[in-house]
Amino acid sequence: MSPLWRNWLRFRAHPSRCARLHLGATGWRLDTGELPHAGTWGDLTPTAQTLAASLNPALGSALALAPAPAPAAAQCKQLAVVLDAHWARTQLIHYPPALRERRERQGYVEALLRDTHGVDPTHWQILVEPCYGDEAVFACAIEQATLSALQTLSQTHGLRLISVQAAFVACWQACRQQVTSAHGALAWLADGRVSLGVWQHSRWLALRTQRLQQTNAGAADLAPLLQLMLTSNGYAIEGGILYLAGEKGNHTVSPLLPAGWTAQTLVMAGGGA
Amino acid sequence: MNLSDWHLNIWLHRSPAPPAIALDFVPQRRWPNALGWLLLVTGALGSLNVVLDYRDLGAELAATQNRLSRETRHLDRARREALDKSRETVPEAQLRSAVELARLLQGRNLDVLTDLERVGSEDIGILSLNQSARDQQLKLTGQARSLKAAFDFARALAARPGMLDAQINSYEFKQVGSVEAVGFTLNARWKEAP
Repeated sequence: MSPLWRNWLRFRAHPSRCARLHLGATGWRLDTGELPHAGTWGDLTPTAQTLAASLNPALGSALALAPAPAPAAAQCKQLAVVLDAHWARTQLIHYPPALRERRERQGYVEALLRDTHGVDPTHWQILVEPCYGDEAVFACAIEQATLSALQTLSQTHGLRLISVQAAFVACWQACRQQVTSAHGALAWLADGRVSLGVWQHSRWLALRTQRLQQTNAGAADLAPLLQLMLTSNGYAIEGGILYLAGEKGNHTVSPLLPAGWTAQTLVMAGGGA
Repeated sequence: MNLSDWHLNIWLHRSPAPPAIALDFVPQRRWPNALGWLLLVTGALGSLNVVLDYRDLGAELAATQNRLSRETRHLDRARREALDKSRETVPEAQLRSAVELARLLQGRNLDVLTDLERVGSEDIGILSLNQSARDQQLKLTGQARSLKAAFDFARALAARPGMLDAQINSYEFKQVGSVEAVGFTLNARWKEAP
């Protein structure tokens, strides 16, 4: 696909016509182009089976009350959903060289997601990027019930579901243009978890999602994790840029980062950072 | 940056960041690229060309079949006419010979032979026969068991309706083995056909 068409597709979801729903472990946020409306389930974390029933009235009221002064909600015809780590699992896959058959690789991905994230292939939907050569590919998995609930939710409110993405993937899609370094890392912070992806020579090296020790996480909290990932995955470049995005994106450059590393906060178009 | 620079930047600039991650649980509708449109248009034009050619060839085939059937009809008619004409125009020599044959056949020659066959008996053997249609005359040489049988044969032949007369010119007795036979010559004349 030519870059021109890619750009045209990128802006196909018009901001004023697309409601962006961000689902976290303990809360949700709806951006309708005007003001973001945040809600919370409090201590009760809904499951995929109760998602539609739990979110339906709140989402309806948010859609009805959000726009001011222009009736933007009335213009919202599309719904894009971003799922945090509680709902979606993201994994970077390095296929062993011996695995060439499509069925073998599928089994490898399922086994890896089952062992790492407890994903049951019979109830979860798994998406894997097409693999070219020996490149690492991303795989995402969400529960089938979650997808069904989102479809029900969008149909209930007369919205067309145009996108369901994992948060790290959506963050990368939204912020990739701001990334100028061929060697670096992206940290997506939300719901007290961090998804840290590291790349070098413009190739993904590793991705890890784990709970942060402190809820008020800053760049300093990521330093040990970043150092661990650099050393354990064979990062061979001196220095890099740590890009920060998510709920705790307002970070300053920390002296505790590995040598040669600097931190940079990304600004998400959807209002994430 | 003007438009051309922007295009150049889009086409030539390679971002140092890793490529975009194409993972979305809602299938994205991919718009065909320029090559796809080009292939589609080429295929459509090719198909249109084939369809037009097929239609033209179909019309040409129908016209050719019509012309062929028309020519076939003309050829059949011409053959029939030629055959009829050839039947009508018999060559003069063939016609003359046919008339002559018919005249001969219409004569008494065959009737005379038929008469000979009818009046003949076991006692009479015909050895030679000389028939002249121009003179309506028959010369016959034969053998009989007895002289009486020879004369009976002559009388019976003369009694036939188409015969004028039949006479035995000469006779002689012969000894054939142990049997005595009578050799004879006979002259007969028949009536000319009306």
